[in-house]
Amino acid sequence: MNSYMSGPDPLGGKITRRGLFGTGARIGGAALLATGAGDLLAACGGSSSTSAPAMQPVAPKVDGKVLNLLTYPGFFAESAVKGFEKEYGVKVESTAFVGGQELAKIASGQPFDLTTPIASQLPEIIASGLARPLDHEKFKYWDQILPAFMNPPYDPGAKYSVPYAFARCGLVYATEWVKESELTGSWADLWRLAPKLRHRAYVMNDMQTSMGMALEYKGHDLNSGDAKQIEEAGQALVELMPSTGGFSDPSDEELIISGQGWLVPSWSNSMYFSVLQVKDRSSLGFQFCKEGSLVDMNPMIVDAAGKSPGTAALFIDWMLKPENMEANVRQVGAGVPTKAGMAAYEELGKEFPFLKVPPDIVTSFAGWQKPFTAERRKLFTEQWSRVQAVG
Amino acid sequence: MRDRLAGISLLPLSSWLVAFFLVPLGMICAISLATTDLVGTPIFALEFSNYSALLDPLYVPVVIRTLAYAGAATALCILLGYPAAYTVARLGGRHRHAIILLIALPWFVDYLIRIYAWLAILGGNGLLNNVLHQLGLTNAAGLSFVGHSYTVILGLTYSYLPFMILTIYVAVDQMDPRVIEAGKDLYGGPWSTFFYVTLPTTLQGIVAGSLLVFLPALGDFATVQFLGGANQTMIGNLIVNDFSTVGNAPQAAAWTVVIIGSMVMVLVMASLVARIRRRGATHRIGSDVVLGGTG
Repeated sequence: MNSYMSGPDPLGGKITRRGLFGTGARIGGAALLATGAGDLLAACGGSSSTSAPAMQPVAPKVDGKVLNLLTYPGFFAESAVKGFEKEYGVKVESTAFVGGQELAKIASGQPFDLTTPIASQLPEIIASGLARPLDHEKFKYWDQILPAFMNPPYDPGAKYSVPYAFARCGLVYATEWVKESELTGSWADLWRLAPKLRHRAYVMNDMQTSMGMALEYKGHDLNSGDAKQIEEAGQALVELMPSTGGFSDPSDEELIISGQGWLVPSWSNSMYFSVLQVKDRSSLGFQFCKEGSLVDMNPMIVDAAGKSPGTAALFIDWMLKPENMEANVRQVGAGVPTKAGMAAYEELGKEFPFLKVPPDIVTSFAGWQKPFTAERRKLFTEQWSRVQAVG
Repeated sequence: MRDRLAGISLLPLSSWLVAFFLVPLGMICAISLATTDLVGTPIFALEFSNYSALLDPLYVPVVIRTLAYAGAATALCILLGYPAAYTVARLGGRHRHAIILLIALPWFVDYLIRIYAWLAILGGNGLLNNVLHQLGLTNAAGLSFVGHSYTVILGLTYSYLPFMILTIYVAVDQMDPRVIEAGKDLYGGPWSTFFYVTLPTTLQGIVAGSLLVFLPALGDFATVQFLGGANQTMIGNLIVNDFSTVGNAPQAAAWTVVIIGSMVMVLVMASLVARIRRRGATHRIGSDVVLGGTG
């Protein structure tokens, strides 16, 4: 039916998430205090362990009557959640998080059953023993998943994760103040137009995405590990910031809907939410940039600390069911690489053209953000600190 | 026996402070000297580069800006808070407690909601721009009130003003009104009575209020995050970003230790100044007594 089903092997990986508070939920920070403090005091000079304890693959079955989700608000369609509760007699409790919190919570051992972290965090989450392996054989709707995502780069063999919502990054613009004729379909538009927009252009407060954007603007690979190129990207952002309104906090959606932001890097699903909330849809435009679209995803994982892992796996399987995935896609405005998910997403794309995706995004992971290596994270962090200081 | 009882009665509080203040503080200090692994998990070390990194000239404007914003907000809080507190305490009559409650009422609402409210007022399509546009004072593009230094200072002032009002209110309320009458009896005009009698008498309230405003303003991050723009980063924002976006917990901890250290220094200095003032006052009184006796 479509070219997604012919997906060959993947390249590099990373993810999407709802643009809630702009900042990407990076593996850092508060999460680290949670895991790190324990290691710190216990190890006292040693290194923290990152080898995952052996866990049995979890099969979908009801092994607890309460399912604790840790995810973005409204990240699953209400009809799908209610249907699950009714079908299996399980009460679904959802805890909402904003950027940066979910790792802190699961790393601290809080008993959540299911989480939707950023895919690029998965290698570390898995290595830290925070996710349970999945018993694919027992999943009723496992064959719904597109071939490429049965072996994604962020989780080889999809042993620990099931793909969920992905989105692409582009530039949202207020059509009243930024004319389509002024745009060239490049990230360079942000640098060129920001000085004219009287501090109404913004930069996403997300290190990997914004640095990736700047790398592409400078003609480099978004996943570059070259120190010189990364420095160039950092410098480009440092030069851009003074002419902007700063970072798009509290969220790009807020800025766009409130009319404060006229040119804002944003996710396609954030644009979807924004468009649904403004009176006049034509007041907003969205352009993808020819250099790339920094694809990002939030897969579903079963938490190691959860008390109902079987129920969590069952929930995931339930969400893979075609009618539920269709409802989810309409709910979150993000692509989901399952047969039904992509069909629903294509349908949605007819009404919202910015949701259309080139096939290679879900077949070869073209343009996806990859997980950090230690060295690349260090280089990014150094440059991002400079950007933060002028942000 | 009494000392032992006093010691026992302090045990719960001491335990609480040790468990929930000193231990976490120690952990923050330890993390400030740590390194990180791939995922940013702190690993114990003696990595002083987390502190030396703070000396990067890049951060000098951020530190100066933080001090300036916190200082400006404190000054504004004094200017706005003193007349308000004085009026309520002196003229509020039997309703003064109710008025104080009304002043504090907005602070029963969550901090973020209050900042969002400012966004709704000052944002591009916000209330203020709409009013100005309706009055024909601006075009459809409106004015950009968000993203300026004055907006951040306004936000900080708004956030911490009640601390100033409450402390000054207590100071004015406790002031013996007869000292003002005495000032007037000594032919003091309204201003001279205020500057030589009222203000010194309530100075402790101003100092306490200033500390309660200045210190938390130093570590504030949400105000800039919501109402600020480019080149308005404060130290609090660096800490938040180090924690949540770049996984650099040791550097965030180092900033935290520096801020806490600065706050302690401010408190110690304030305490020293107060002590010197008291000694000076005692000395003057002593001199006056001696002079009076010989005159």
